Amino acid sequence: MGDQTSHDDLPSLLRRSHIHEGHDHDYNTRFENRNSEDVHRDALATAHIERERVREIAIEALSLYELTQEQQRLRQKTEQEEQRVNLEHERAVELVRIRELENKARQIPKLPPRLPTPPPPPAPSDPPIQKPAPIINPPPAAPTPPVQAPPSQAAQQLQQPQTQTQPTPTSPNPNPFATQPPPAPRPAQTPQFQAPAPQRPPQTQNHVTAPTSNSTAPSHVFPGLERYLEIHKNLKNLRLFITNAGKADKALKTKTGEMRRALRQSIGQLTSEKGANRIPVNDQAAHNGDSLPTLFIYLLNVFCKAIITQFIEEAGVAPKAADPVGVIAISVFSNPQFQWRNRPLIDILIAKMRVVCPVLFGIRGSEKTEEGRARLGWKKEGGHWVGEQVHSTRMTGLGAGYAALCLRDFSKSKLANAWPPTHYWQALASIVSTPPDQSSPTQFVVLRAMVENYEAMFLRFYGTAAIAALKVVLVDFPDRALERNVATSSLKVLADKLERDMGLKLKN
Amino acid sequence: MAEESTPASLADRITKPTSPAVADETPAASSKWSDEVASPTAESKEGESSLAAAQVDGQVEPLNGSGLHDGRYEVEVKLSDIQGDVDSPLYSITAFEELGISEEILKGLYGMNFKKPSKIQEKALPYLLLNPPTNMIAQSQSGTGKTAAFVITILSRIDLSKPTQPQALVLAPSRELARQIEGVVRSIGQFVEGLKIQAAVPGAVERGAKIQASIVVGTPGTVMDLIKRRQFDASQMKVLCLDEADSMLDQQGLGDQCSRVKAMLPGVQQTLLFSATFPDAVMQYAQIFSPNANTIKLRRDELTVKGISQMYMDCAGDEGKYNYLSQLYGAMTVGSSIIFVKRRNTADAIADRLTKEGHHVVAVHGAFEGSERDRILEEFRTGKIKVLITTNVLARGIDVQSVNMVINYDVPMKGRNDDEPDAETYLHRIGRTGRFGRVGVSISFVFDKKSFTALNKIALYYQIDLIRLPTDDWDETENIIKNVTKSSRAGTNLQA
Repeated sequence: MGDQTSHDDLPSLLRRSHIHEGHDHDYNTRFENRNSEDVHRDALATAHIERERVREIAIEALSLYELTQEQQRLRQKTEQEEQRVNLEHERAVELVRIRELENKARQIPKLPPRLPTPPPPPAPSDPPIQKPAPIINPPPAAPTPPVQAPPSQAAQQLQQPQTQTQPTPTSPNPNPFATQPPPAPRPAQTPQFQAPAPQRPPQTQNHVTAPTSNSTAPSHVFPGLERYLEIHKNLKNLRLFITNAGKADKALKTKTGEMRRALRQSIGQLTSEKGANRIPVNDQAAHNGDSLPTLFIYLLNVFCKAIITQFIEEAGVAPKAADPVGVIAISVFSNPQFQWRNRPLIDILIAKMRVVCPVLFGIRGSEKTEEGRARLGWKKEGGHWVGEQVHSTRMTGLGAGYAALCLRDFSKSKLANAWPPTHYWQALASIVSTPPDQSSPTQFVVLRAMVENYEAMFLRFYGTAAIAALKVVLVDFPDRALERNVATSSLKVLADKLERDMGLKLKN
Repeated sequence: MAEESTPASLADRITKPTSPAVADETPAASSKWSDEVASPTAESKEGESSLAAAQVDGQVEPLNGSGLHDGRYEVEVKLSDIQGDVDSPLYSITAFEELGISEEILKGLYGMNFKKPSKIQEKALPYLLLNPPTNMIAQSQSGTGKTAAFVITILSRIDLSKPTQPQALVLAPSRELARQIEGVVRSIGQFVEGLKIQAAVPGAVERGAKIQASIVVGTPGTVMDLIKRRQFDASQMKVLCLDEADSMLDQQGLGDQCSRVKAMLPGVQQTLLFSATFPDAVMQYAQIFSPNANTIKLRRDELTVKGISQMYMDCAGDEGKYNYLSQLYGAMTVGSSIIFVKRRNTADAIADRLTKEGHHVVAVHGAFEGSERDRILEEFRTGKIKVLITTNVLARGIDVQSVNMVINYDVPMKGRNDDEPDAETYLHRIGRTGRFGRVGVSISFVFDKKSFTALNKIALYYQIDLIRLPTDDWDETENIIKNVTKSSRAGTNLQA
């Protein structure tokens, strides 16, 4: 314990040594001196030295620790940096390859309309952008064209829908993940996307429905629905494009295939326990450029497909399974990482919803006619309509899935809800306002799926209004139906269940 | 619904007030909208004009619909498309409402989302509900609603004014199945007032406690013990039902116990035997067990359910099987899945590996305790666990609707040295998917001559075309699964 070097500094030490080093002093001497000042000082000095020593060791240890920490941090940083550079490099290589493929594909006569159209314009020179438009979805039915230029732009896009979902990486911007937005185009674009915002109800922030002109009677069909069909078509083309590109390049085919299967597996693994969110869409940078990589949209598209299929395949038979899938979907689209200039890209998913389950968007049809079934989203396979049971299962899954998507509580989240609960209300309202002679079992099935298991969430968002709505949905609407059948009875049973299980009396 | 969709008058359709307005609002979309000016009136009716006028309905060209949405020109759906496949075990012409089922039970069926009776339900229920009660032996494919058929019968037969007096007994070969049937009785009977159900499986009834329920569901051994110990008053028993009757009556297995239980129920008026398989030897005994019964039988080639796409993979060695297994989860959209293996240790090993890949997996086999097995099954049923790895314990009867993939990791074998393919077990295993007309996929793994020959024999026995999945090109595998599933949904069984 004794630290020789520090002894020399202190005079008190000398005194101490007088007493202590004399081992041959007899006991008495020491005993007599036991209360002397010297002894006292000596003790003080010893304590002081000890304190100093401990302090120094501590300081040394601390600085050592700090050093190692710093070193570790630096090492980590280097690794991260390396990784990032690698990733960026890989991405760049990938993108170059995609571009090459596109060039190759451009020479394939089969695909002329889509590819030549996205001309790679030097980013700054052409402000009203073309490529991002499809995702952001400027409402086609903007009541008062806010800016002169955009509508015509939109018109152009509408006429050539194929060109849009091909946000081909343009040559001047080889790395679209560069976080710096091209300065020039930005101001010009903003009005186009923000214009409809003020006219929208506060909760629904953007995209989709722009309100129809106030003068028209309230429509049960949402405006802007057309757009979704276009988006859907464009996405189909995109998929075809990637498939064709894959035929030319085995590596791309393998890679996209692996990604696709990884996504599908992840969605399939979701359980009610906790969403093990390991979605391997590996893009981190905020997307600000005027184009998005094709592969990114392709993967989002695959993601949405997997979501929809999971709704149909799993939630159709086990409606509760829709919940975790809906959570994943909404959190991915609400996550800035998967947004474009802070606008959610959820229209990709909604477009698919619109196609597979049109009644959610106010569309009606008779199940007894060919056209009616087509409108209702009744699937055809091998030239024949799928069976009633299969159809009803699909609708159940999609109804539950839509509820799982809409009724999410973002009050505790920093993120903005990409598809707020108003859409749920809208869907319910549009269905129950169907005149009795136009309602169809499909609607009853969808309604039931939307309501069952989501009563509590619905009440949480809308309170008493929700109770009134449930009364209309579960009692009045099926009572009005011209024909009493299994679909109406199944819907009405929900009211009985609510009364039995939750004490909520809806029937008069 | 809108059977008589009276079309709007021509004038109505053309001079709709909002049509121009709509077009005005969307100058950008004019080229498209112009095509659809007529669409809003597609279904408009007289007297609904204000609402109908507002309809901007059904833009279906991209969905293969025609651009004409005039109700008058809508083509009626072909009768064959409405009826579906007449040969399907789910085909029926009646509705539940026509079968003379009580309102309370009907409500329960609606609550469970039942839509229409299946063929077995439509055919059997009129006989089952007949007075005086008649015996029945019924065979129907897996997942076609046998359980619901006898549960409806039992619920209709019991006297609800005596809720604690046992009146009906259902016997099943395993505790899981008994628990499941108990659940079905509860669901269908959820709106039946004063209904009491109790399970008689090992560990469920305390020693000395009396059975206090009108419907008892159990396994033969436990029920026999309970009656012997006077915990179970069988004096007023009206209905006895054996689910999976062929395995219950098998002389080498539970047959003896079942006969003894039956001997203890002197007052039974109706004995019901249900199964998907009835080997000839068992059928003879069944007719003694349930005399003068109405019988519904299937031909052997009718046994497999068309909705189940049956495929196989030729794996490189026993070890190669695992890699293919884990890849399959990406190749198709899987809800829940069951993997059948031969040995317990294989089950545990696969469970570990799949868990590492992020699946929610559990392995169940005979080594688990009863209550533990109940819990695991319940978690699988509710979707907390999505992959179940098991031995033959659960091959029969278990009905988890969201299962759309069944893997035969090992081809089922029987016989003293496991040298004979077990066709019955194969059928029951794959029957865990494709429930009630849904589509399911079953994939069997073969890796050597023995397993290949065995699977081949099974395929020949049922006359099924097993489709081979490639193992080197997963894009191709993905496509084949997709197409095969599609065609089996259509019931055409096209080759991929």
